Amino acid sequence: MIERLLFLFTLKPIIYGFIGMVISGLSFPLAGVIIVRNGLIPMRYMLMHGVILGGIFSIALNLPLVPVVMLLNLILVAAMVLLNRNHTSLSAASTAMMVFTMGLASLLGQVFDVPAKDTLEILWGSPFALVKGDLFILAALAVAVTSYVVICFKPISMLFFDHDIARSSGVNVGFHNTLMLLMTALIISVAMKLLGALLIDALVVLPVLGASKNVKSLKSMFVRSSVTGLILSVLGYMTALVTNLPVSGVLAILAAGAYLINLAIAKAKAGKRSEK
Amino acid sequence: MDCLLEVKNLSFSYPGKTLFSDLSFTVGNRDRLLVTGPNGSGKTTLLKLILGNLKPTEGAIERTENLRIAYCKQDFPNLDFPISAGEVVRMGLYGQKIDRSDDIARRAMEKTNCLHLEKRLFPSLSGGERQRVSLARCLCQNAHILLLDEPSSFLDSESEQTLIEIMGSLEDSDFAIIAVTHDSAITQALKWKQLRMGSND
Repeated sequence: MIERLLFLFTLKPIIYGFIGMVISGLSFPLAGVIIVRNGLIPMRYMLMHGVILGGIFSIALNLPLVPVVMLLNLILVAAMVLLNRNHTSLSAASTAMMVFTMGLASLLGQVFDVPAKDTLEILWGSPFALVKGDLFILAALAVAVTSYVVICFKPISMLFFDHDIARSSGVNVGFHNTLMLLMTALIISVAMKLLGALLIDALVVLPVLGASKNVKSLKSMFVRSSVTGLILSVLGYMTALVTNLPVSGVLAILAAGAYLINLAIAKAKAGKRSEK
Repeated sequence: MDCLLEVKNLSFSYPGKTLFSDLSFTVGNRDRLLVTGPNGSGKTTLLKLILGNLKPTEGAIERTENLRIAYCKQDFPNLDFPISAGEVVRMGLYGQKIDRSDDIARRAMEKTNCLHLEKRLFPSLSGGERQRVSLARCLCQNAHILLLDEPSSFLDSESEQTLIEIMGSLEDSDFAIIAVTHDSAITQALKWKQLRMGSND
């Protein structure tokens, strides 16, 4: 088994995939904390549909997938922010944009004669498909999101606590909200190529939901989510290589297992407290 | 009296409902004002307009330059957020370049009788304890105006009495206070100037 792994790690796609998984395992859950704490879970559906539309554009015009999808998702988020400024909730705005995106994807797919099968393949993703350029984009995003969380930890924690209080304390709520939305959009776009739309939650959201059950501070929520993400991504990747199964599927099962374990620990702790 | 803010012919409406119209008053240094009135008369909306979180339908609020406003909310819907009471109080120090910030936070907690809660998780506190911690956060803000939104809601009578004592102890403070309340115990105990809102006034 070790010999097989050593051989596999002489292959470029395997090495690139591993690097990609390490970077994303560490940094994606940071964006996950932002998604969960800001109640942006509905938004990622819009971003996933943005990927389908981006996929159609990229296939029809023969353009590279990741930059097209990133640009499209940035436009969708900008439109969502504009709607939000006009008193539409983020949830309603993202639903409206999602429906619009899906409609446009369906029309463009027909006009450009893009086979639905090719578009849907994007939804499965694969870390082995990463190229050097993707890794640079991934590393840049990881540095950006980590730096943002470290440098702006105080205003972020105030925003997560309460928007009105943050605003009255001098936090630029609009600026931070927009920045968080844009970073989320970019990370989801890249995650799509790595894991596929259907399994993004495994690395972005599930480590956070699990870690949130047993933490006593926001700092430990960020750290534990990130460490959980790293362990899951490395373990999932290696297990997939050894067993010759798809990475995203293995990772999703592991993430769901980790979440259930966290849930059980939280319940046991709560039970002990009530006994006391 | 230095005028901190001036509310001029202020009106606010939601589609199909006018909450209040043509409201005018001024708030100066060290003023104390109780905003009273029935539910739905726009008391909390008025605070949000003063904060700048909402835009008036008509009229205007003129604020003095660099006006700092501290805001103590009525409720905290985000009660699954893992944060200690001490961290909530220190939020009030955000953006201030000051030495011995820990001393300031501790003094604020002593003043509102919540120093012993410093290490406790904020969501695990009772309604009264959360109000005291929030008041301490506001005191740290070094604000010109303190806005209190229904500070006695969700409190039992003992906590309410403690709150009234704490509010009374703020009498000598340098900032102005605008408190929204429909609690007659507060209005009777504090004897502050009152602005009564409601359709019959």
